[in-house]
Amino acid sequence: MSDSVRKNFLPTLASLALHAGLIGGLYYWENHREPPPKTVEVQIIEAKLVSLKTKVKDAATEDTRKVNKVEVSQAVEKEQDVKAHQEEERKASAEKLQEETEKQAKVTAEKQAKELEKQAQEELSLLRKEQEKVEKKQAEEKAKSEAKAQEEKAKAEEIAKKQEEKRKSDEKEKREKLAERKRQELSQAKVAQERRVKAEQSDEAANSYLAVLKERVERKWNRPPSARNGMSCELRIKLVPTGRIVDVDVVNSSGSDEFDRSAEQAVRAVEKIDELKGMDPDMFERDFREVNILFRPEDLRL
Amino acid sequence: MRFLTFLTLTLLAFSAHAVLTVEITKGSSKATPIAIVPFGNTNGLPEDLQDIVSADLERSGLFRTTPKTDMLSFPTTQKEVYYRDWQRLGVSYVVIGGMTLQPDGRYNLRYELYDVLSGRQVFNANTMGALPQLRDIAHAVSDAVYEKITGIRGIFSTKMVYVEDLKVAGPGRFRLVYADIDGARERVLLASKLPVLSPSWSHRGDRIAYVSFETTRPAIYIMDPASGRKQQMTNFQGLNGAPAWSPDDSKLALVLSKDGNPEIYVMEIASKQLQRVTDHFGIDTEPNFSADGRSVVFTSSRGGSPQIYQVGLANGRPERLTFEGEYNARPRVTPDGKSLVMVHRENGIFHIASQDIKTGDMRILTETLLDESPSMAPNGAMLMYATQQQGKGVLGAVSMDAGVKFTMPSRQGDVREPAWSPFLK
Repeated sequence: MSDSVRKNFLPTLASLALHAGLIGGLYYWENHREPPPKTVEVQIIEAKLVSLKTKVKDAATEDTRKVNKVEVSQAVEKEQDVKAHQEEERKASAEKLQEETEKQAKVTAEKQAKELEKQAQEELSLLRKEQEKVEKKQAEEKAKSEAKAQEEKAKAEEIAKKQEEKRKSDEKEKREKLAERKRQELSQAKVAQERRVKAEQSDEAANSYLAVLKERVERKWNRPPSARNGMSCELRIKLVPTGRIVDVDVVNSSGSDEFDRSAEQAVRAVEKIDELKGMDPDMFERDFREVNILFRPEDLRL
Repeated sequence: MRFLTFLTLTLLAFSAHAVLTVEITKGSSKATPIAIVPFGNTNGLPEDLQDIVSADLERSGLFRTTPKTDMLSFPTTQKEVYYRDWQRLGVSYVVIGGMTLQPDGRYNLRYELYDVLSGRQVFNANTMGALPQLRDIAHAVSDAVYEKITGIRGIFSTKMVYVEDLKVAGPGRFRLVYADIDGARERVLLASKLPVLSPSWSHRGDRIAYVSFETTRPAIYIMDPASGRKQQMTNFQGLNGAPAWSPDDSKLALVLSKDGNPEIYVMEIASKQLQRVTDHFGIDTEPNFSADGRSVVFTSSRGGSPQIYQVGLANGRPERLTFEGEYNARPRVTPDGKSLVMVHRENGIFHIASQDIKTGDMRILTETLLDESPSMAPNGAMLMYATQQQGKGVLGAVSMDAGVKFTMPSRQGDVREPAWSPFLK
């Protein structure tokens, strides 16, 4: 509503201003158009008066030459009569003139007013037309703008809709992502949990595999008599999933070739641990690809 | 994000991952399987070198040798060694070699030791000798192989002396016999119709002290086994016995009862001067020098039962060393000077026991039937003692670490009082 007021305010103001202007113009016209005809009228009267006066003067001069004193009184009387008559005549003619002038003025005025009115009418109509045009235009514009607004609105709505949709889809996506992340986290947690459980289980399993390894190596370890409690030698063995020991390296020597060799021979004599074959491949990769074996006798008598 | 998580997890996993370590604290002391392949170019020699080496290693208690008949091949060079063949036989080591006759008539044996399980050569060497030294060549191989595998110096080239009683009355009933440690190449150093006792090696191995009754009363003699020359050291009234060499071989500790009851004396060999070490009414006997030569350990009954004491030569103050068991006697200081080996009786059963001199820790090495004297191998890995087998006195040996016991091949009569030589040369 206020929008339409605001939108129609300017055109309305314009039309109001126009109307005011027109009315003002007409008023001005009415008041300021009269003097020029009056001036003309006065001029015309004066011209008549001038000519009249001269006539009167001429006649009076002729009278004066013909009659002196008596004649003067007669003349004066006559002149008075004439004067009155002339006055009357002049008055009458003046009145008539006035009348005529007034009539003429009136006619003219009417005419003019008519014309003016016509003109005004025309102008008005023109104005109206124009106004109409303007209004039409405005309307059109308004319509246009409205249409445009509509369009824009539609557009905006569409955009909004789109945005909404986007937002929704974004939200959805977000939600999904969140859900996904949650799921992932959950699954990770689950995996971690599983891993933990598995780790615990695998620790157990690993320990049991290590126990087998330990038992085999112990059984094969033939210590040289130079071995003493407290000596130690660390080997790194490399295994393959079949349980076969494929490589043996001394990583920490005992300082005694014989001791080291006895350890290495123990491992090589084990050769293969069939039990490792059934191991979970992950565990194998993690813990059994390489295993360190620390040989540190505690059961010797020396 | 996922990648990061993955990375983090991986890193975590990685940082948490360490190579597992298995600790092996036990093992066996089983005999190591070894194959001594007949050496090349040894046919027709008077000694079977392969057999000698195999027997040496077997006797140590630390090896189990592969019979020739089980061998799939007889390699004499590295190229001919197929580790798989030997692995299949369950052999850990293979010894191969070949003999060449030198222009000077001596025999040169090249020998090589292989680690079958690792598939590599452990070492190779040469040893030379004349025809009568073929056994020495073989023992040299045994020594080297033994040392390479066990980390302990081999004792196969050492000697022993022992007393033999043929139990047949006559001029040669009692004999002092000198032999290779495997019992071969025995040589009678002394034969007597009267007892011979307590042979004892000098630390350099060039002389043997012993007690002989050949003059009808016991006297202490020193003999050079190489030449057979002997020297009488004592001729006192009463008991003259149990000679033992000081670490520098300049003195003998001995037991004399010339002053009433058996006491410990130290005699300077060069001057035959005596120093009395003990003075007690109990029986003091079986002296043995400590590793530093400054004191003597001995057996004494002064505490009621035989126990082992130590007395400083400078102060003459005896100190009791053994407290475990009802009977401890015949102390011998081990070659490293760190412990005593003795005859130990507990609950009526005799054992060979060893005791750490410093800590006093005693451990029983073996059970024996009689309180016969133990004699330690110079590498400390074996102990020889006299024992009874099927009513006969035989020499028994025990591997100190492996706990492996075996008896020496039975001789004609009773064999007693073995004395293991030090490392010779």
